[in-house]
Amino acid sequence: MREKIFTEKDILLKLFLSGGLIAIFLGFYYSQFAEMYQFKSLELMLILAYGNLYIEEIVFIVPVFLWMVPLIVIIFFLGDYIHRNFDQNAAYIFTRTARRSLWLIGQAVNLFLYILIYYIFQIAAFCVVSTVLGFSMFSWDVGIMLIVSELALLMLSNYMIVLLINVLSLFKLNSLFCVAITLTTNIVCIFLSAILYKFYTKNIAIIKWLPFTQGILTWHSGISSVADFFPFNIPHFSILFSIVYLIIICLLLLFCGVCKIEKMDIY
Amino acid sequence: MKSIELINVSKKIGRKKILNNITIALDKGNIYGFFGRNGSGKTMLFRAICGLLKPTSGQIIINEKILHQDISFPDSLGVIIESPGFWNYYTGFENLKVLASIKNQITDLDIKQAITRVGLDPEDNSTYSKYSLGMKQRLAIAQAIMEKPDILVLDEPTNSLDENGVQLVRKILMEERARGATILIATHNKEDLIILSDINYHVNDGTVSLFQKNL
Repeated sequence: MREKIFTEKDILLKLFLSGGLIAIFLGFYYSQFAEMYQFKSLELMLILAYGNLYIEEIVFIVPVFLWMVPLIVIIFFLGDYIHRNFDQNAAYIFTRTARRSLWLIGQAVNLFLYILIYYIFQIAAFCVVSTVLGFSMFSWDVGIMLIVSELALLMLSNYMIVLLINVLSLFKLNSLFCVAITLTTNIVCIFLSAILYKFYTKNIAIIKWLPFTQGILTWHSGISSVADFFPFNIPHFSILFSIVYLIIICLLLLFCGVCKIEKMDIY
Repeated sequence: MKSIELINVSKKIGRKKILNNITIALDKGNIYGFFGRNGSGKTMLFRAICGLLKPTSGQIIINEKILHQDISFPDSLGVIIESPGFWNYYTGFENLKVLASIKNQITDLDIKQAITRVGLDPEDNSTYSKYSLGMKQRLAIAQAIMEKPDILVLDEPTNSLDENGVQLVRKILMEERARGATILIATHNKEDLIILSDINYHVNDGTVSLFQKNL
């Protein structure tokens, strides 16, 4: 049943349109920054747009907002995805099957696929825009590795956030309230990172354990040479650590959702 | 033979008691009408019978199986509860096919017959979002009857239907009763109750009482 339900054309269309527009906007916006480095590299553009948040600039609203723009769009379209489908179809589906958890897992897989498609399309569109603006890949090996790492971190971190909102909404909380809680926690974690960086440098390794910081590629250690443009990174904060961390959190969220949906009243 | 039995069923949501010590027994092959003002508990009662709501106390027994103990929901059930919820981007046939695929008991031909039975065209390529309110209601009835269930729980089945639609639904419900189905209808339409139901119940503040006067 999941395969059929996944083809929600209106959601796909909205994700493609908004993804394309964001890619164009970010392409033009960050091309000016990239030119300041006098290095017309597509890898650099990708990091600037999707993989970087200058920790010393977190106190300003604009960089944090720009970093969150792609996420805000996903939340807008998919924040109430499970709750909406549950409200709409629960009576017809759960009078035919007792497998509520399977339904929830199917919905979670759909969400994952939507977010994956959104980011693949957006990054592809961003690469096209950047190429048109005169940027090119300096090293294909490094470039591909960066794209894959960025895609994995963005995907998983944003999926975790969207899944959190969707699971919270199963607890009979208003969807808007769930979005507000999640985004506030996200912003608090980012600001906490900046505070740790500024006042508690010795404890900077804690940042990698804060939820929501795993999506920032340049904060990781041991990434490619292009990342040398971004001197701040957290020791022993590997991309693999973030991927495992995010997968575990997502699985825990899904487990909470399954426990809830199995016992909840439908009214 | 008893099809549905409720024994001292109560349900509390927060501090509010929405179902209050309900005891009724419904025989197979009858149509039961439930009426009462808005918010009296008709829909909640139906949700409880469908297994969507777990009673705080009491037992619901469906065909000798205890709900939430032996079974999670009635094995053979067709439901319309409040506004029909289908997928907007599918046609009527595709919507029913997705739902039918859950139990996988009926063929495409059965689905098409159910759609035709409610006066819709199974070959219509319009998506559900283009359907009028009456067409949506007809499709909801088609999904409820397509698997030929033993129990039909219908909340306001004639809502949004024109006169022809109302007549057609009444005819379908008579046929379903003749087939042996136990049918529960909640409605504000007294004519439906007079024409269709064998026994009527009055629902008031979460309690249910047998209604013996003329409607």
